Amino acid sequence: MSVGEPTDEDLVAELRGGRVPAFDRLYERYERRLFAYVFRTVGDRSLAEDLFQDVFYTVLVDRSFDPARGRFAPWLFTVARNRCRMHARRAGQAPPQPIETPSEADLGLSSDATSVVRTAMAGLSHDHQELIVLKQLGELSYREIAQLQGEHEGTIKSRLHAAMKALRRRMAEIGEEG
Amino acid sequence: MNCEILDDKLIGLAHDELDYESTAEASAHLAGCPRCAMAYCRLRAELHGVAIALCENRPRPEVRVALRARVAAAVQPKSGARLLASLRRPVPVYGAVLAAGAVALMWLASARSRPDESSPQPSSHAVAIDGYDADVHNPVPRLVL
Ligand SMILES: [Zn+2]
Repeated sequence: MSVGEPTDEDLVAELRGGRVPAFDRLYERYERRLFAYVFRTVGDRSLAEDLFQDVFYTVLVDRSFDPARGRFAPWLFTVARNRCRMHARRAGQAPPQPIETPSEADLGLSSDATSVVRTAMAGLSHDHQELIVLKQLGELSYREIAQLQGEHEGTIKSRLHAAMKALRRRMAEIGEEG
Repeated sequence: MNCEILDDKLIGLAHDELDYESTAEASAHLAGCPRCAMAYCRLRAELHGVAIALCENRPRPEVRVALRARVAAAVQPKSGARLLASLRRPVPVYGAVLAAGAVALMWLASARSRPDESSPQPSSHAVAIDGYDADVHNPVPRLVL
């Protein structure tokens, strides 16, 4: 975010004051990031869109998030994670396993580099995938991820570093194979 | 900080998770070591590529329209509700003081314009109508019992 741009928290406060254009800015900031997290977690586009709407609406409108007391992004992803897990429990499924989501890449629209990342991600464990998504898309700090997952910050740091190394190693291997 | 130690901290540096001292040491090493500087640039580029690759999908445009309408309905009360809310809004203390002051001023003004019956004193207005008999000009029929 560049200097002078309102923070997410400013925009939430503005929106709750009735200024709807603040919604558009927040939506543009999180549309792809939040949807990617939810879609990767549940693996079904239609369901992901429902959950995405539900999560976004809840966090923006429900007063349980106080923009004066915390960052918006960790709260948003925490609610998203809980909703995805709740859905899996209701549906009687095992905890959600991120999958390789179909995308524009499947239509031949993406670059080789993108497809390498996607293939490499698909080869990682559920925990590693989630950590990478929370860090790279959610832009959460190690501490925020630790709070979200109920772990120690040091544990998250070690796991995330291992995940990143595994991803980079896999990407290099795919690059060499190709 | 040598190359081996820095290599271990590169991800933390790229994630902006090192403390101030470690960040300063890492930056100093990068400034003088082309090999590590190259490795750091490559890592940053890869992380950026990962973020872009993971963000490929987005919800359909209809999702945004529907969500915006729902959110707008929740944060913008209807005009009737807005009026009701403004009526229910607690009156601030200075408002009550101003209202009391206005009432006092009105009472004072009306008290001044009223003739003082206890101590009648001829005013200039009274002098001007001296000798005027209202009954002559506006005779009111009197009830005779
Ligand atoms: Zn070096």
